Amino acid sequence: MAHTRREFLCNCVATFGATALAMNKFGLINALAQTADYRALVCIFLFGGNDSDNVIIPYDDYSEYAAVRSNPTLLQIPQSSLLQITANGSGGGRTYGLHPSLTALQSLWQGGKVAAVCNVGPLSQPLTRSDYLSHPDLRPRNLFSHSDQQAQWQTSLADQAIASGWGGRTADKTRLLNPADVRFPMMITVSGVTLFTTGQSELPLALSPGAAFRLEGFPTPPDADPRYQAVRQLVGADRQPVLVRSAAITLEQAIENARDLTTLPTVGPFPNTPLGGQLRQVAQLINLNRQAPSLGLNRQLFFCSLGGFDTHNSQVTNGIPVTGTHANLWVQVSDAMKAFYDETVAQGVASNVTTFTLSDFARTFRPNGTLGTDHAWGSHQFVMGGAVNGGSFFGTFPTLVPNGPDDSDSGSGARGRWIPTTSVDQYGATLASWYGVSNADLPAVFPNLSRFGTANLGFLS
Amino acid sequence: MRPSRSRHSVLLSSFVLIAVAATGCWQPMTSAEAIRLLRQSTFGPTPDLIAHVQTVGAEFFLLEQFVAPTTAYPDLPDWPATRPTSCTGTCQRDNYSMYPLQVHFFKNALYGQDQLRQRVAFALGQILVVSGRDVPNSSWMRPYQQLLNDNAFGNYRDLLYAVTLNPAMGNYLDIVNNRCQRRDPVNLNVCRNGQVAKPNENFAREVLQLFSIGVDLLNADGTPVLDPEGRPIPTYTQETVEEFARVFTGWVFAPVLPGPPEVGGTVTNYRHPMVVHVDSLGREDYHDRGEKTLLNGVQIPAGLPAEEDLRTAIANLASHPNTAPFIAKQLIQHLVMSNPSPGYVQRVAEVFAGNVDSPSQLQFVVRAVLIDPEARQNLGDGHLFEPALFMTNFLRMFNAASYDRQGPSDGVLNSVSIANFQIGSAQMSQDIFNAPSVFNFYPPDATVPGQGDLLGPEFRLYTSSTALRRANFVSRMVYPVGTAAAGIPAAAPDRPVGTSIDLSPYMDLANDPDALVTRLNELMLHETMSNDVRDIIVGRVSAIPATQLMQRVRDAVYLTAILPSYEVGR
Repeated sequence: MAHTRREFLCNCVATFGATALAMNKFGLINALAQTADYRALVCIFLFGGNDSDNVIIPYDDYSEYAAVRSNPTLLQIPQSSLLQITANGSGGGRTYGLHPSLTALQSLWQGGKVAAVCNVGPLSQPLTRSDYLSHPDLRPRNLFSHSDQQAQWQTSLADQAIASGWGGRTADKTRLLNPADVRFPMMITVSGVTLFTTGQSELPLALSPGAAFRLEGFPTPPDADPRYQAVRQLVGADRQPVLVRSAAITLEQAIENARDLTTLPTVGPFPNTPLGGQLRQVAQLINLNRQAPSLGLNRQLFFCSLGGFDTHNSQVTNGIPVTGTHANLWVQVSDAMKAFYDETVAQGVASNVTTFTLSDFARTFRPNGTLGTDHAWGSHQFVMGGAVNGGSFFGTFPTLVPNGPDDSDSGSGARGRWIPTTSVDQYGATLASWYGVSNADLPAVFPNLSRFGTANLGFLS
Repeated sequence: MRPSRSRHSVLLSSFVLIAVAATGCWQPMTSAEAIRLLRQSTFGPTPDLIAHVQTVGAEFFLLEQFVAPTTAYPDLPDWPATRPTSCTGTCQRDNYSMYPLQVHFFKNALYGQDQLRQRVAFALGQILVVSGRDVPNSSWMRPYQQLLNDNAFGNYRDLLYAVTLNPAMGNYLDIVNNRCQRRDPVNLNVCRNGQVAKPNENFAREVLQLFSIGVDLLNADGTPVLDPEGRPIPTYTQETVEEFARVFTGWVFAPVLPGPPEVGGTVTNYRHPMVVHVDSLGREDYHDRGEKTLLNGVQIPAGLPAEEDLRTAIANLASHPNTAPFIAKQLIQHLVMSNPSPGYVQRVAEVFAGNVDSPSQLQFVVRAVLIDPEARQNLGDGHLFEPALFMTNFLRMFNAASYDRQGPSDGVLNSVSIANFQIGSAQMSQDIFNAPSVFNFYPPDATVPGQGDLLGPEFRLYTSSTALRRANFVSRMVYPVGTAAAGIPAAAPDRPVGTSIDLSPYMDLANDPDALVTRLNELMLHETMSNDVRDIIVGRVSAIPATQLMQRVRDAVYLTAILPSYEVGR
């Protein structure tokens, strides 16, 4: 049951009365409030299209994989290098192998804190192979294009373009779960302006990692400075035409929110990498929300990203397939995710924070001739957190056979571009439901959800 | 070569002046009109240039710009792909990063005479993207940027052909070494692709999606053609991508070049276009010689040379009816406005399509973009200035020079961090020549968050952080910090002389806050400041004692330059 912060404060004061007032520790009260009802979603978008067929590999049925990714194209990760995991759930308890870069995620998997959703991707409706081949009009728009598939992952809509994302619409429908007297936005992107965090009414704060976030050249606090007052008046007055207004809204929000963000708390060690820096900042903001009297949000939604997954060439080092571009990217992702999970444990919010990955698409199972892979479709994604039913597969692992039952390609030159068996709508709806979107509101956030079998894949509890 | 071109230019420009005057096309412009044109066609107005354009008019100014000699990027030594351990510090900076090109870019933006050419090349470089993230050597990127400069007013088909064979693009989108894997022993035109590997689809897909026709079939006005159920119609399929991928096979780097004296040896050739690989018998063994089906049913028969296949394919793309509105609209978006009317797009697209064989096609297109009534007469929504344009507009208006004002700025403006001031274009999310991907810093169809379908590509870079950094850039340029004078101080070795502006010309007006703000409204906002905004700024400036004239100027300039309406070019 959701309480507003104000309600909780009242209850809290009534219950603990003089003790709480005597302590005068609003930070503590907020922390208590959050243990009762705090949830955060953290999206990590892997831009470029991650080759998930080289991230989760059948160990028991390795030969099917090896038959296509074998020499002479050299993308094959040797069976002996795989990090073995037991895949429960739809994995049926069989053994799979993670890419050797994922040692950190392997340990979280074994601890039951990470799950995988298999062969998920944009769909406008459930699609069999024969439907795909006979009805081009049922395919997602501009299939295999980066920009379109990125947008479809972020909007959940594969059959139309829309100017808001499912993260933003989730915020639209859950904003009342946050205290009405806090102006701080529910959504924060630490990786630029994205469709995912664009709601129909809610907009995110967009931060860049690292640097101080404030208007320079003013005293601290700046409120009494007449020029600062003029700046605040100007961003309110300079509102025509519409592009000016849009810029003014962003600048105004930045100036106002900067007052809450002048100093961020210290958090535990993170790798010194782009994604590590972003997740560190997310951890700082979660911590700040717990500590700062002016915040105390019950729901927060974050967006991070890492680029470079468009590995058309030199995906692996020639002759050493366990190293190279893709391996380096996954060391970064895996280590940063583990550091972030550990930090949520330290903050006592591990079960209140769920982290998940998105990516444009998987890549052709059959490689190209330049040590790389091209654009494909259905992919495997990771979900991490204390609330995750970890150690399991959700959805259906594809048959790794070009021109086989899951391939959208056909004929002797088929390359293995898996038709997703789980839709982005289902993946997103499972996350959004956990976050607090009611069943009644799910269709507004995921308009095509009812076309698919189940609205909740069950990977969160 | 250059002197003759220059003489030719002078002759041409004299002729044109006479012709323009004789035909009565010459019209004087108000300062507001001149400033608008300069915000669209240059890296920012300067007081001198405003006066010049007012005198000569729009048409003649554009003609001057079309014939202005090209400023060349500095020639850079060719270094090996892997940095020698001896190459550190400034050696690494100059050869293994975009630094020397970024510095040149900003110097030329601030001071170059070929403003329009550089502005168009900057736009083309954001359509035909090669990023230093994957092509990190400055000597590899330099020929590519020079190619865009040289062809900014040329023919688009020729440019696309040259771009395709440029080694930086070859590296970036994997044309280089893309090859037929194995030949059929009986029919050598048949490649046995698909058994072990297939041609790389990278360039084939992006040349279709981004460099020529786009994903949706377009009307001549740039709006999508819709099927009876109201859905857009794809221009190509996965099969099309695979056919084009086979066209783009067979190319390898030109013969190696000698390495730099410090290192010796040989290095990969990024100076010359890629060449067709041949075996010991002179056969094009890497090229897939099978027949191919291009767009609109065009067939390439089997057995043709790689170069002929490529010419056919590039012509197929450049002459496709989509290419004119697709490219025209993006040039309008980069120069004038994010949301042009369909009529505006169609007028420019017709110029594009009507000149597909002209060696001056893009010159005619750029002229059509800038002379169009929608660019000249309508005070529309415009577009949010990207960080580099925002910075250069401000610096040019206030006579940018070195920090000590003894010479020109060093152009070190891409990455600028001074204590809490993170104020370079990279810190504002536009790391010049280092776009995140082939989709540039922002896709052309990106919408303004929270504004429905309204397009605003540059808003992808306008975050809470970068909005503050833009204001902080202005603050650093305008106000002293502690005991340091205003501006970006020199900091050896990467920032040899720094950058500053000069506000002294406005001191005379500071006795009269109303006159001061009137002047800034004219120069910076071409008289679009609202009365409410004006009252706030005049009020603040008037509250400063008349004994502090410089403070009045600083506050007036700061408060005007941080206005959202100054960041939106319109």
